[in-house]
Amino acid sequence: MEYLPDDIWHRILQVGIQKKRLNHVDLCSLAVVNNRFDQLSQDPALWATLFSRDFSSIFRLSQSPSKAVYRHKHVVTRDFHRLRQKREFERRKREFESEKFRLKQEFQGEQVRIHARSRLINLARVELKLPDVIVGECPGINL
Amino acid sequence: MITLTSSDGVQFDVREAVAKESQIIRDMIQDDCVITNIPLANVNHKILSIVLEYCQMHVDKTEMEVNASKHQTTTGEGSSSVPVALKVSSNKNLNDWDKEFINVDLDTLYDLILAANYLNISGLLNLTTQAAADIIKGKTTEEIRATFNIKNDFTPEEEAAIRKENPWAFE
Repeated sequence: MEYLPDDIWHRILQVGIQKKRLNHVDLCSLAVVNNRFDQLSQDPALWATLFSRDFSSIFRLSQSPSKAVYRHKHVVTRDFHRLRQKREFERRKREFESEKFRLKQEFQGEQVRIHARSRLINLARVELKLPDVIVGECPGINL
Repeated sequence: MITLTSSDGVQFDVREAVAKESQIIRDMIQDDCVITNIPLANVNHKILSIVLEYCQMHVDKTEMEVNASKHQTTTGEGSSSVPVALKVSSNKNLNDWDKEFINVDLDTLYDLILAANYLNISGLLNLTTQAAADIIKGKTTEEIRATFNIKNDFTPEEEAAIRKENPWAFE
C-alpha cells in the first residue's frame, strides 16, 4: 500500500476526512510514520477540509487553513473549553460552600431549639411528675 | 459485446454498458464507435475479473431501478408504492453488497485501487479509497507501520522532534 502514488494517497486521506473516517489525530499518527507520510499529511487542502468540518464557520480566517492554523485553533478552542469548565467548577464550588454554610447554621439553630425544649420538658416532668412514657415519645430529650 | 484483454492476455467478453462503467473505456468507445477489443495493459486477469464483477453488479442494479421506475410510470398511481420500496431495498442491498465486496486482503485492495484509478471508475475508486482510510482510522503510528509494512526512515533525533510537533493531537 505504501507504494501507491502520492495523488492516490491524497485521495485516500481526503475521502477519509470528508466521510468522517479520519480526524486530526489520525493525520498526526501518520505524520510520525515516516518522511513521506509526514509530507503527505501536511497538505493544507486536507487541513482546510478538517478545519471547516470541525470548527464553526463563523470564524473568519486571514490565512488559509494549514496544519499550523488548525493546531492553533485546536489549542485555543481546547483552552477556552478548559477555562469554561474551570469557571463552571468554581461557580458550583462556591454554591456548594454557601449551601453548606447555610445548612450548618440551620442545624445549629435547630440544636439550640431542641436543647431549650428538652430543658422545658425536663422542668415540666419534675414539676408535674409526667409519666416516663410521654417523655419517651418526645425525641431529642436527653435525660 | 466488447472484449477486454488483461495484461496477462486473458480475454473477457462483457456488455458495452458494463465496460462503460470505466470512464477511460467510455471515452475510447465515444472516440471510435467500431472498437470491440480493448487491451488493458495495467490490469491482470485476477483483478480485472473482480473489477468487472463490481461493474456488472452496479449496472444490473441501475437497470433494475430504471425498469422499476418505468413500471411505476406505466401502471399509474395505484401501484406506485411497490417500485419505491423496491428501489430502497435495492439501494440497501447494493450498499451491503459493496461492503461484502470490499472485504479483501491488503494486496488485493492495493491492486483494486490502482485499477479503479487507471480505469477511472469513480464508484469503485471511492469504495476502495474509503476502505483504505478505514484501515488507517484509529491506529497508532506503530500500528500503521506494522499494517502497511512501512519502514521508519527518521533518525531517532528526527522522530523525537516530529513526535514533539504532534503531541497536541494525542491529548
